[in-house]
Amino acid sequence: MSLEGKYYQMCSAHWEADSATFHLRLLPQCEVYHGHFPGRPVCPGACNIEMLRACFTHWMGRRQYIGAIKQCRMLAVLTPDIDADIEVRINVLGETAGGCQISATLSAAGKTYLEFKGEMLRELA
Amino acid sequence: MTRNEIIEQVNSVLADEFEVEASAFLPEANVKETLSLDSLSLVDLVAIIQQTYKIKIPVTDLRSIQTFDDLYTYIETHLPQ
Amino acid sequence: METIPIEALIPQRDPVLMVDELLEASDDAATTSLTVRDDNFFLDEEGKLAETGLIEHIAQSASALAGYRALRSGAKEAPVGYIGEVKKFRCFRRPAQGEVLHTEIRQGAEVGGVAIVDGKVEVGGELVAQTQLKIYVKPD
Repeated sequence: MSLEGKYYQMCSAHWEADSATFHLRLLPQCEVYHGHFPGRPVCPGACNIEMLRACFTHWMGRRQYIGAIKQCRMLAVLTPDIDADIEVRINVLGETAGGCQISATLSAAGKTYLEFKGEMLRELA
Repeated sequence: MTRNEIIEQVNSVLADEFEVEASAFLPEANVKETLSLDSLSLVDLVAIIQQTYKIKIPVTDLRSIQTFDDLYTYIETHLPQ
Repeated sequence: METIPIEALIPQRDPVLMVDELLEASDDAATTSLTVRDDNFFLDEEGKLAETGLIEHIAQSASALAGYRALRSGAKEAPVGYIGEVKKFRCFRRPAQGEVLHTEIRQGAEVGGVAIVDGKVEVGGELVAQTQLKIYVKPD
């Protein structure tokens, strides 16, 4: 389910030590908006979490899985007509047996739309 | 349950749920501000009280609960006999 | 329970309609099903339903319960629901293409249009995912 090139476009990616920043653009013509919702396009929260995962996978250089979400708050409704870069910031908080704990935010035009805390895994059945 | 027992248990349950030091729960302190409640986490407060004391707090009553003292009193007066 | 077309209960449509059927419903609980088909929007590169697909499926199952309650109380259309928060999400296994998900939803407290919903997904009786969601339910 790669959403890159479908739901979003990656514009830039920078990381050092334990933190990374990505700039993305949403693609309003993505087919997801035919059904979410008909005549009223709204970015699905699940797709925004998927964008976080994809950025983290990009950073780690191999596929990463979402093993657990302690808390993911959707602070405002994001719509694809937003004329601004989406900024994703990810911090690695610590290693775990199968991966690591991360915190992440998704924001645009100075407004935070999503805050995420969870465990990413290198393997998932 | 005595009022002091209620106070002790409520403070412990809320400190755990909202990850805030119980020492901040002064009787006259505002609950929403102290716990940094917004529309998303306000429902957690209602849920934790419902789960712990089997008390359903109607939205109309919620407005009258401003301070921790108000919360203790509400629980004290609505505990199932 | 009489079968109500899922399109009457939730506003989502293809390609992200992530509930096939509302199997059972009561005031605060529901059971839904979904077959993981090869055109599922959330199917990943390994032919499995991605973790985020499980989250969307549980959220839409919660919306189906909200839609059922709304129609029963006379609403003309299903309300639009948004995920407000995901908490205590665990994915134990990603369901494979062709598998059938059975999902139990239980709604807890509701304040100011924000409802707490606990959901767990099983495949053939095996727990594959569980979470607690907050759903903003906006009457349409």
